[in-house]
Amino acid sequence: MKKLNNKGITTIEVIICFILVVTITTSMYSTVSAFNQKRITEQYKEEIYTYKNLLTKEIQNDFIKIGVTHASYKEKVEGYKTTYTIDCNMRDGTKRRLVVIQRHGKSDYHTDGDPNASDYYMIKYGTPADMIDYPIPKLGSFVLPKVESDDPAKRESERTIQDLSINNIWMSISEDNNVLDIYIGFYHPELGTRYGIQIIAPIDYVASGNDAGTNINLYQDS
Amino acid sequence: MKKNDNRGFVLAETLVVTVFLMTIFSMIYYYFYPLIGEYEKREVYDTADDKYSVYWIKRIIEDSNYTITNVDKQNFFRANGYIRFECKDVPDVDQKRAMCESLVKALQVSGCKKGGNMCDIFITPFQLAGLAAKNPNIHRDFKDTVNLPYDKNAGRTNNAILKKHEICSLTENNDICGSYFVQNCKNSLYFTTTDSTELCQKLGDERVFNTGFRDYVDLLPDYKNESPNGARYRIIVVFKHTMDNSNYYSYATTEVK
Repeated sequence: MKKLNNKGITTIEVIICFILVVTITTSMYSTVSAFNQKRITEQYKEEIYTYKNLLTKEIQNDFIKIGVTHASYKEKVEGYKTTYTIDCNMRDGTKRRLVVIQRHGKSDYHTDGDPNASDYYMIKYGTPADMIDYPIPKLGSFVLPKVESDDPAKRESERTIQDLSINNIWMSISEDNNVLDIYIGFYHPELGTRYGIQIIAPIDYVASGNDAGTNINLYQDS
Repeated sequence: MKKNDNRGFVLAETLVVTVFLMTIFSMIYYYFYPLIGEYEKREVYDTADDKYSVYWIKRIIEDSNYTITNVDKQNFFRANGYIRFECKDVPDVDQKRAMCESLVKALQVSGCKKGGNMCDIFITPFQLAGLAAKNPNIHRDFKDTVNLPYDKNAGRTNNAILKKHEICSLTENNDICGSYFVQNCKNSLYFTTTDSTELCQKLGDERVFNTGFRDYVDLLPDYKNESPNGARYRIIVVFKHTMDNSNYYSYATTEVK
């Protein structure tokens, strides 16, 4: 019987192949891992977009279809909680109210937050008698432990910190009382402060011309 | 029984296959990675916020009080397929001009100067391409205007439009356009400084359409068919978002009846 060729591969060959396989696997892993991280970030963005588009649509629908005739703004601070309220009188005689409540728990994200309470953010919109809650999306959270200390100023309660927070709120009515400007800025450690809700609408604006189209005629000599 | 050939791969074979695979993976990566950039670029195109913003500008243009009687502007539209929307063209009826100024400022429209003028709000024909071939009054489609090549030493014909060209008639030369622009620009600055003239000269020599805008317009459909809503015009708006430490441009368009 003819002898089988059972020569194996040499140590050098094994080492070279092993190095090649490890290199390819490592580079593949880091690429796949980066894409996975990107997927998670995109999912966060998607949730923020869905939320902001829904809320913007609700508010702008009223502003466009009914129209705002007057708007007023007030801000109320109670301890660590701040409540921002915009009241709008609408052209059909009804009212609309937008309320944004912001309370930061103390954390690395908000070092001046409440050391004894969790994050709380809420946006409410509707008629003053029928406000609908629009809780912001939950994109992760963590719990900070209770801190005991003899110094009452250094004591902290256990609290939950949300990754997505309402960071910056800007509400204004222009000097001439003709444009309402609302900005609700979000902060997320992965996304920064780029994603916010911006709602701008003219106040007491009535377009002339009954929706007949523009008067400009640029195609021919006027 | 036939003997099995159980010889393994030699090193050279392994290397050849590895190099082959590496080449394929590199090529996939090379062609796939720019797609992510493309996706991120498109994230700022026609967002919901910007669509609502554009809607309010459209409402002002569709207001019967808004007219353009300036012959130079009309000629510029026919020659280049666009004009700039400015609040100074909104008549001061019922405080509408003041509202226009406050609105473009609040909307963070790019390029706006005092009085809501020089904003990057472009009124174009509804059709962005293919109109010049059908309508003898329109000499160049907007898409062609946006993509005109830039040659510093060339004349105005078939050369990229500079900001100073928008303010003068089609026949006036670069120097006259420049002096008009500087005068107008200085009056529109929020803060006048000693180097306002230099600043305005520099601004006047800038191209109207930057790369980001060109990319956006190229991606828009040609809208060769007529609008089912009877729209004759289109507005394209550039926003510069600076709220909350942001700093990025976004673009949106809508039709105007």
